[in-house]
Amino acid sequence: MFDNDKIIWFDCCCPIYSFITKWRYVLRYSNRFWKFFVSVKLTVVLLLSLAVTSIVGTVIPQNENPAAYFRAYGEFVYKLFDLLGIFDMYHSWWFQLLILLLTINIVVCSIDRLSATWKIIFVKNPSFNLSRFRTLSQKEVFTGKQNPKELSTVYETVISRQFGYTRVEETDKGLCIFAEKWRWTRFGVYIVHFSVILLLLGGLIGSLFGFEGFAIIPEDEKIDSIRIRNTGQVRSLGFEVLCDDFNISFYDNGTPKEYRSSLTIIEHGKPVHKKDIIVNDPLRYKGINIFQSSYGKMPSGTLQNKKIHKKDPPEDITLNFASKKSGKAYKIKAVIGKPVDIPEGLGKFVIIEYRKSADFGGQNIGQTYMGILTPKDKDPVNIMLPLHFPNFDKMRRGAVVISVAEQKTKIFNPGEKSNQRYYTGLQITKDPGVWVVYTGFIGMIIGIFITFFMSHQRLCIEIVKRGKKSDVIITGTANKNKLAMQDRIKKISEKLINL
Amino acid sequence: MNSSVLLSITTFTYGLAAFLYIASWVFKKPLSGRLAFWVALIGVVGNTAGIIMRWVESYRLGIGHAPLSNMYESLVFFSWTIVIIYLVIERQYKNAVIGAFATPIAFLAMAYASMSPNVSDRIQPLIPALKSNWLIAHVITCFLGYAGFAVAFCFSLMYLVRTLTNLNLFSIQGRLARSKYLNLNIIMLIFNSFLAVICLIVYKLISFKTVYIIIAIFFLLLIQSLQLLIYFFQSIKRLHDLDRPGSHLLLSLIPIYNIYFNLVLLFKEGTRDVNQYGHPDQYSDDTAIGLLGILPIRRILDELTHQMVMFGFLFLSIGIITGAVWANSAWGSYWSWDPKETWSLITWFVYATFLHARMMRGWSGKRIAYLSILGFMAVIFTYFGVNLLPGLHSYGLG
Ligand code: HEM
Repeated sequence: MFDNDKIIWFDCCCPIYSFITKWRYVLRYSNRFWKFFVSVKLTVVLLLSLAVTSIVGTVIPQNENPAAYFRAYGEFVYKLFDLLGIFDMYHSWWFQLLILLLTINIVVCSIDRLSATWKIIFVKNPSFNLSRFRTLSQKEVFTGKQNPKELSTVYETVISRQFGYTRVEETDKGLCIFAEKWRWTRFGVYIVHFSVILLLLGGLIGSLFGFEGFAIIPEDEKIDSIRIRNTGQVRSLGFEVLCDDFNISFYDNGTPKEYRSSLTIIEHGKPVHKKDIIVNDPLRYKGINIFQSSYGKMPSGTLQNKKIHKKDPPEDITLNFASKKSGKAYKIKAVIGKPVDIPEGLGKFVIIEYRKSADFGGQNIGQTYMGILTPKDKDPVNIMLPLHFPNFDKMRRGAVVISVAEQKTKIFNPGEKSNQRYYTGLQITKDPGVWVVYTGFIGMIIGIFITFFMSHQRLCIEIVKRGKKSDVIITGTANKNKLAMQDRIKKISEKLINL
Repeated sequence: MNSSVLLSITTFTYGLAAFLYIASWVFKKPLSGRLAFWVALIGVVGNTAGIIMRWVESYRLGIGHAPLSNMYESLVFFSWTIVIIYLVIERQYKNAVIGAFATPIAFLAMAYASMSPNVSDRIQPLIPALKSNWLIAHVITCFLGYAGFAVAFCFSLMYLVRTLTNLNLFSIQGRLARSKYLNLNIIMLIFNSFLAVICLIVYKLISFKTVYIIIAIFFLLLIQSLQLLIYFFQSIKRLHDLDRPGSHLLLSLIPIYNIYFNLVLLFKEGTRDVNQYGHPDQYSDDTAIGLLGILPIRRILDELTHQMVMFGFLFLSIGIITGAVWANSAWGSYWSWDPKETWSLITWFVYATFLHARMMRGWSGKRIAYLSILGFMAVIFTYFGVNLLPGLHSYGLG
């Protein structure tokens, strides 16, 4: 009766208890969910699926121009692949789903086993099962010259040097020394799995709160915003980056040795940070990293004249229209102010002016045609066609990519620096998740090392009285690498014989 | 003498060691095995000296860097680690037969490095992206991992060879279990790939006189027809196992249908009980005699495979991680799914599967050997195949 009352009391009045019962209730109903995700069979299936599907993205180039895909695969396959997200497969819903399933799998599996492992790991007085040790087939046996009591005190001091925990117990036949070490290494595998989760989490943080962009800065100029890769959006940095100087040096055989940009960070009009960056040695400021990524030569003329000139365009302008739908490209001659019809009914385009040096998001992009594109049934858009960045219009992701064909640029000649003005190409990124990922990296290495190469070792030295002498029987177990444990027992036995 | 010459000599030393190990196994001459150990040891010394000399030479050229910067140098390092790992194992397990499988791989890697026209042994200056200590850590750890997997692959191969106990290669009497038939096929496939690599190297190496070409072709034809014969005999025995007459082998001449036919031969279980061709083939036991009997027993091979995979997995993980850190310091993103990266991840997934299948699903033996072989295929592809794919990874090209 009393017990029953107590339970009822707990049930109504103790919030923790009722929480647990409710939780159980939920658990029972999500039992199928749990059973599904707790299985290592699922892990094997998921890991193999990830391995196999990942191959696809290495065979089919990722994130290329749709027109190129269209040309390469034809309409039907293109549409099919596009639907399946094959052209950006590592970010497609089904690949992300596989990763999500793996994550749930790890979490569920870890929780499930952790409760059991926890009890094994955190015990004050480890229990030893003497009869289990006695049944072990591999044992070292010898005869000690003293009685069990004397031997055990000698042995215990020796053993305690190697093992963290020792205990002497009386048995039915004499004495027994138990020893063990590295119980905590049973935890290693959880460190590995937790690290996997950290890696994924860090990646998620990075993709949610970070960005990856690029900027081009001519020498002696500065920018305060960058272009985001893939989307082409402009993003403000919150400070300015000034390129004081760009230098390139070469080995004797002509291969590049070093690209070096001297950068200054300017905040509120004041220089706050200065650094020369080279590949592999970026500048980091306020969580934003600036990497040396490319370089180039400014078109001549911009050095002397940075003003906008409206009226001295090159005579011949040939425009290139690449249709995304058909993948075809059309070359058409154009004159400023005179609209041209784009083939395939893609609309009209007119060049309205030529600038010797145009500005885009705070960057100087050199000689540029400004134009207006009027797609069919849509509002006109402003288009910039910089001569030196033929892929510039791709970033707009429109139905047609417009560029200037047949530009007459000089071929770049390395080493020639006189009077030459360079621009530096910078990769600018922010990734707040990177420290989570790095923690995962370290955890993974440590965890794998512990899991593979350390084991929970238990030793049992039984000393049985036989007249004035004693029989000594040494056995031991390890949760991993049992062969090495046999060796260790042999060594210990050799040591103890000679005492 | 410069490092290239020394490393070429090393190549031949490894070749000699491989030859001696194989001879020791096939002709059961332990003396040859002991000799092979010392030859391999001399090879390692030469290999080590070659690596150090190359390092010194690069400084003399004024472009000093650790000799781990291109395909040639990484292959040399790879062979070096394989042989060292192998020698340590030989000392521990006192079984020289393992060398008959491990040293040929080291020899092939070295030979490919020194002699393939696709691989330049010139000391090249480092381009800016490769100037990083992370890169050195990355290459060393990756190749330690690969070497571990290569040795694991040897053990798995030996495992498969050992499952062929009581297999008479040149008889059509009796029956053949499907797993033995499958394993035999895998072994032949691997053997032929090795042979193809050797032919390629030799072919590119020497400008032949016609006589040599004829001799070489003759030898190849001999080997191939021998294989065909073996294949023919075993297929008939496999048909017996399915309670079908050997004459059904003619069905494999029918196009399209023969695909199905071969799948049946490979995977269909034989009749359970005695049939007109005799008792079921008991496909395995550890009472093997003769050539197979000298191989370590299967339990040990299984255990050794697992240990080498653990070694490899630790270092491959560190390799991928240091590579990611390097990428992050060079271009600001630690992972960009380029083919080389992705393939090392694929390899990693395969071996993670291996570990879980073994530890948690209790897989062992044959299936574990298959997974280990599959993993090593992924390693090979990561290393050589990726250059055939479209991508950005400049490193690794000749
Ligand atoms: C990429 C992801 C993963 C990696 C790198 C990984 C790595 C490892 C490693 C290294 C071990 C130790 C194996 C050994 O002792 O030899 C292990 C064991 C294990 N893994 Fe994973 N694992 C991953 C995913 C998973 C997932 C998704 C599950 C979910 C079920 C899982 C469940 C287990 C279990 C139950 C063990 C055995 C733990 C024990 O010995 O008590 N692993 N894993």
